[in-house]
Amino acid sequence: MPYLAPEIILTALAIVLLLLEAYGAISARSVGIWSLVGIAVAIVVTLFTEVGAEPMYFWTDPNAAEGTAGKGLYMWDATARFYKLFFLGTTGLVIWMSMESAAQPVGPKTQPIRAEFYILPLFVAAGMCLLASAADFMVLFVSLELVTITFYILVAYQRESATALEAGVKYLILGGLATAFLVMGIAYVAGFAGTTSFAGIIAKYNTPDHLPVAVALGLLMILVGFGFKIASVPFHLWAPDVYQGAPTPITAFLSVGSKAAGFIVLVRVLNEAFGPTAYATWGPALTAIAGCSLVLGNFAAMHQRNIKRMLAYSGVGHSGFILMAVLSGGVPDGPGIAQAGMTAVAVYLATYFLASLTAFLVITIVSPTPEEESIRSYNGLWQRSPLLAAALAASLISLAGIPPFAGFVGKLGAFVVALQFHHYGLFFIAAISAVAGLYYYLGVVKAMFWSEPLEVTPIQVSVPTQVLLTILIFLLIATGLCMEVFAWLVR
Amino acid sequence: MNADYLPVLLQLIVAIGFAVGSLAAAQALGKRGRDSAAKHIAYECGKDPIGPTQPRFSVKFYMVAMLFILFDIEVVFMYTWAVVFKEQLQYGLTIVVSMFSFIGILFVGYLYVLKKGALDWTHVKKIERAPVVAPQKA
Amino acid sequence: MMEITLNHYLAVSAVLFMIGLAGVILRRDILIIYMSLEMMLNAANLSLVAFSRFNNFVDAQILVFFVITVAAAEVAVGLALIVALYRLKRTSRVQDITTLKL
Repeated sequence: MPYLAPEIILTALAIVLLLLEAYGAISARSVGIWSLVGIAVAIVVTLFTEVGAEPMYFWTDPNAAEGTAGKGLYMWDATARFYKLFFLGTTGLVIWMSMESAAQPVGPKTQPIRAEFYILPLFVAAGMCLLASAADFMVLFVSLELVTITFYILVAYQRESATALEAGVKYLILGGLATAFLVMGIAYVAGFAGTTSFAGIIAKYNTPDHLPVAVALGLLMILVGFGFKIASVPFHLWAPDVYQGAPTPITAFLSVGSKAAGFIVLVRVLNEAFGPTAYATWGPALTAIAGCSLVLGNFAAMHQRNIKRMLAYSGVGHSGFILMAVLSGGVPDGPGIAQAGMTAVAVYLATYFLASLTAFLVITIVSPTPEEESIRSYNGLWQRSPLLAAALAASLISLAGIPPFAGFVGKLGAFVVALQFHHYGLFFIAAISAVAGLYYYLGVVKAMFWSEPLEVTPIQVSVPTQVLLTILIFLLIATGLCMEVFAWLVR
Repeated sequence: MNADYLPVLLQLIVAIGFAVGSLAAAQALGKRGRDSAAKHIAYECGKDPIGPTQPRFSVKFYMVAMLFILFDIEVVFMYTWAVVFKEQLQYGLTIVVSMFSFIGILFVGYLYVLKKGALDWTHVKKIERAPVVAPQKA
Repeated sequence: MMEITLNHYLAVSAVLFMIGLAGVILRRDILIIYMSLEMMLNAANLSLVAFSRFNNFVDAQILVFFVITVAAAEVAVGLALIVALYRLKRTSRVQDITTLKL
């Protein structure tokens, strides 16, 4: 099986669908169905591509530096496969949500969903899959921008609505700023190292000395670029506005897919391109970022009245928890990031994937218009649709990190890593933030079950979505009870 | 080792200083806040302007300009390809196929633009929209 | 006559980057903000080309091509957003479009 298969399948399918739809051969809804089929094929192909014990590299550079021969642009290992499956699953669920919201009545200012709304996520998925395999700053940059620029379009998709355009413009300006920092950082790192490949850079700088000042500066600039993608303080300013203004399926995509894309490149660069000595540069910076994200994200979420804004701030908090797991480097002669840290990041993201996408699926159904996104609209949801209320409750409790739900496993992993690597201050801050998180998550749960609804009309849910929601609830509990699932997934 | 890169740090400080300094200088030397309504009226026998001073251009010009930028910029990859392709021909047809697949993807983009009417200057309003999907919920 | 070294190019590039950053932060018109963003990207390009010239590092030029292409795509999306925004609100100034709140 060719290793580039998932990316090629997605891109080719997207191009064919684009042409077929433009020439009127196929309806928007069937484009959505075909996109789901393509994603399913890509998932199967990825699952059945074997993983060796050592990372495998493709497109090698014949002029590579001494000792790095055979390490090229594209890398295939267990981590790449796990994140590819993660991104494909996210995209599939997002397209499902889009089809769900297409089936709902449209407001006067909203456009009906067109075929491009299903096709663009395919390009995003292809870019994210490529990111998971990037072994070179050039591939990293191009695939990251494929993801980001497509997101600019998706965020501002409802172009008759002022809020969507405002969200799009804000995302573009801050995203462009992050891109500029990323490129400048890459220029310094690659320029002084004389190569863009991760293997070449680590071969040059994995010495007992500290990093040269210019390279350290470049690394910090790269971290600014990634900090934007993962929405961590102080690069989170776009998140609340963009999450609120974007169509709900795209908000879900940003909150899960884009965040995970930021984390995979972050751990890849810190692990593959820089060794343990670089920890002296990025360790303190990321510790500060993680602490600020934890506090600001969780405490700002308490005061939100719009559920998408609340989840945006809580997402900033979750970035803080995941960064706590990333901060596991600096062991002399060890890897850039310890295996325990890599596993904790992957497990946290997997639990976040389940919980967050379930929550957004419910929000897509309950809040078809911006007016219905206020948390008050969720009062008494239990009386209107028990299944939706149960699903949202399960996902929110999981996000809060209460056993036996999946989120608990993720949080546990992050806390264990923090203790293992002696980040006691961060551990303390994270514990307080987690308790603050309980307040706003459980506030919504309480309102759903014990408040009187604003309106009593029951909400209809289509049968396939009912099945999907049931599966998601089951997974949220099952993975929380049986942690070995994650060990198998990451293997 | 670090001393070698000290100039870069110094340059950054100079750079920040330059940016801050020039902004401060603009603030200090510029004649901001000293303009009054009287300064905006036509001088002596000058004529009052008719209509808005910035004539509006039709959006379709922007559209054509944007599409031109997008298709134009792709040529940079053909330059690099043209430089190396002769030496690379020994590796088989890969080098030819890679450029033609790239052009093929661009061509698909062109067909899409054409069909969506973005290049049609005379009938801009014809950009198609999907029919409103009938609500399935009761 | 002074010899122009790599450091001179890096200094110019750093100055350009900072001017661009100041522009993004201080200017209020979206179009000017986009121009400042482009300036920041081109500052990085200048660094890369200088590295390529002085360190015989050809890959950097390839990266420059990708950066130019990405910048063009970004600006195309950005201009499309400005046009849509102008149709809706008749403005391209940042403070006039801020409505998203709690």
